[in-house]
Amino acid sequence: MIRLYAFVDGLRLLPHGLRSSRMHGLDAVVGAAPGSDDRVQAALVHGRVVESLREQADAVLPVRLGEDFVDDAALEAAVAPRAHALQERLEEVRGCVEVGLRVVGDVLPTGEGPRDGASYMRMRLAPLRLRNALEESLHAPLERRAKAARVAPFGSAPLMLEASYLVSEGAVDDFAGEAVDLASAWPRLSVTCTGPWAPYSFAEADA
Amino acid sequence: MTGLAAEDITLVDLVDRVLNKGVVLTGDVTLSVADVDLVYVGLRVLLASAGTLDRLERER
Repeated sequence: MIRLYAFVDGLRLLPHGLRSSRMHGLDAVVGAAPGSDDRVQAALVHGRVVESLREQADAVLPVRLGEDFVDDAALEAAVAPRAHALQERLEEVRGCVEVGLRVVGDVLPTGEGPRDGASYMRMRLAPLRLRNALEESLHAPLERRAKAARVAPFGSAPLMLEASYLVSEGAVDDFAGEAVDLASAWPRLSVTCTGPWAPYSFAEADA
Repeated sequence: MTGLAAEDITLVDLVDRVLNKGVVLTGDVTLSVADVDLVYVGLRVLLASAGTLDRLERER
């Protein structure tokens, strides 16, 4: 079995033990698929490989963990119907990296339950109000600065906002600087910017 | 944010991307859905506890 890690363009250095295979106008980076191993460990190894490809290539399109194929022919057959779309995505992310944003925080004072129906409804509304405010005053300015953005649907507190931004490699410091500036308006929330990552969230057109 | 928590969140972000995002050709993942759920639930707990740590730190 072989494991697919990413599609790349302009790769300068292959990570140890991997090879690049040209198919349908794309360079696929593959390696021998490890047998069953620790799941989190496998995810970390996959992630480190993709991040080293990001550092060594002009463009990288990360592949989700678990895309294993019997051989190159099987991989080629799977790539064939998607080749054009994948080439387009690869061009979209050329020269760009992904920056992640997470906002975590409790909305309500601890230890206070609802006293009546009205206060219960206010309690239910509080996280939605906070979410809307964060989208307007934190996410929107960052989205304007980015080439593209993806926001995860709101689940529930305390994870108030989870978003990814596609940013030109040279603009990451400025982008992070603006995120820090904007976050200072929310001293009670924990705002975390991570990256730069390979553009995982922008690898599929409708991700 | 404590140093450890920030590092944990970076790991959460990496694993989250590797498991849930990126190109999918086959949809035939090696990890079973149950495995992914387990990893994901674990990461959510980690993330929540990182947030809690942060709050406790501020309230001290």
